[in-house]
Amino acid sequence: MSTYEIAYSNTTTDLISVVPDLDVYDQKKLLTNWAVFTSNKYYTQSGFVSQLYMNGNELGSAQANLAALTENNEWFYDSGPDITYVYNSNNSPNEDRMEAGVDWETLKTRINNESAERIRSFVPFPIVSRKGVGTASASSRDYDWIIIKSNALLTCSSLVRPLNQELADELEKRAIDAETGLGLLDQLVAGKYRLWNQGERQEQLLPISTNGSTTGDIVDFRGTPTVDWDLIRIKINTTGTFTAGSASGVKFDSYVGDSTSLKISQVANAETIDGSFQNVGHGMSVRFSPGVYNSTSDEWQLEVSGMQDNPKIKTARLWR
Amino acid sequence: MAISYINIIKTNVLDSIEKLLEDEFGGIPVGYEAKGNECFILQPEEDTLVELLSSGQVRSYSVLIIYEMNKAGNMELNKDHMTNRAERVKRLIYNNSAYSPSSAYKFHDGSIDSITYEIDEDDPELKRANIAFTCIVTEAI
Repeated sequence: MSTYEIAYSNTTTDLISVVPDLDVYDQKKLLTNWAVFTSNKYYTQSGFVSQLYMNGNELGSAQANLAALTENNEWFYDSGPDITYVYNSNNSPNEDRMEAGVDWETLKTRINNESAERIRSFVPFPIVSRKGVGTASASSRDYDWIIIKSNALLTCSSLVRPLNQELADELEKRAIDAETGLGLLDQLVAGKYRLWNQGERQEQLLPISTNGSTTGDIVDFRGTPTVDWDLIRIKINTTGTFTAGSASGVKFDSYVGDSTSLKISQVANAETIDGSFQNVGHGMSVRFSPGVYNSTSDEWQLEVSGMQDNPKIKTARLWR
Repeated sequence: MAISYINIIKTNVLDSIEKLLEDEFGGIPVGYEAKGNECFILQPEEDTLVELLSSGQVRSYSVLIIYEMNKAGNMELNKDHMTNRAERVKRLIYNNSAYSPSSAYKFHDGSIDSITYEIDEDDPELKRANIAFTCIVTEAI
């Protein structure tokens, strides 16, 4: 059996950003009432133990049988009577903090994966990665913040639940709140938040490269995209200062995609910046502000999409 | 300009108890809030004047050392572990009733005055031994 599915949040910084002292909730249980079995070997009625800890330290893998316990800290779990044995020549394990648990990293990874699975079951549209040049989020992550945060919230909720039910409920409600519908994922599903690949969010204008002395900018854009999806490249062709009241010498080019690549087919060719909405391709126009355009490397990217993933219901009145 | 003073209850009493407990119970967290399946929580209780001197003062300090364990099962199952921990603290303080590590005076007449055992009313898995500690600190001013 194998899987290609993954978790969206990591098991380190993402989880700690939700619950800073998460390590406290490592789901270990205290093992007490150790009795002497034979010299230096102690036992206790423990219940199932997959990993034994002494004073917070993992004691390695279990030995295969009781006879194999010959060195300090070696241990063996006998599943028949549910008894754990440990070897200790220094003192009784009653003097130490003995705990049973599962490996903390393994536990966090498992629950993180389960929480990601829960998100995939809850969100009724694809969650796609943002890998690729210029595609990652502002925080350089491969998935949307709302997905990463929700994954971390649900994971932390499950991890803290055995020891703190109240905190677990609070964390879960920040991601999924059946009562109010105000959890992050509730609002995503309701269309109040949108993922990066959803049409309504794709009309984004991003500065790709701006010279340090450039003071002008593209300050507005409008239009109805005539393409399912594309990236429009807008770059300065001729540098200069665009000032109201003086004829502008600043010019720009724009490029759209074609069947061979993105940003490759020229639409605007040395168009003079005049401060009005100017066509850049695919039915879209942009408006430059007055200012200095200092480099032919000044470049912007306008992402456009003619698709709508969450169509709004509108009304229209007809006469005949 | 602020006067010169020393936070005696912290530097002489709380820090000393913390050090003693950490050295003796290496694996059990010692702090000011519950942590993990078993821990010691230090709770400063009282600071009382014993004697005012011409160049200092003698004061009595009380600190509640709460040993807390989080484990399922009734007291019958857990009493040995609880009482072992409390008795070990009692002996630890007896052995260090006058505490001056590396000849740096911290306190004297340290003692455990009482120990009470309880089960949390809201969460029966939480069991506590409330260990009342007092000591005397002479501060030369």
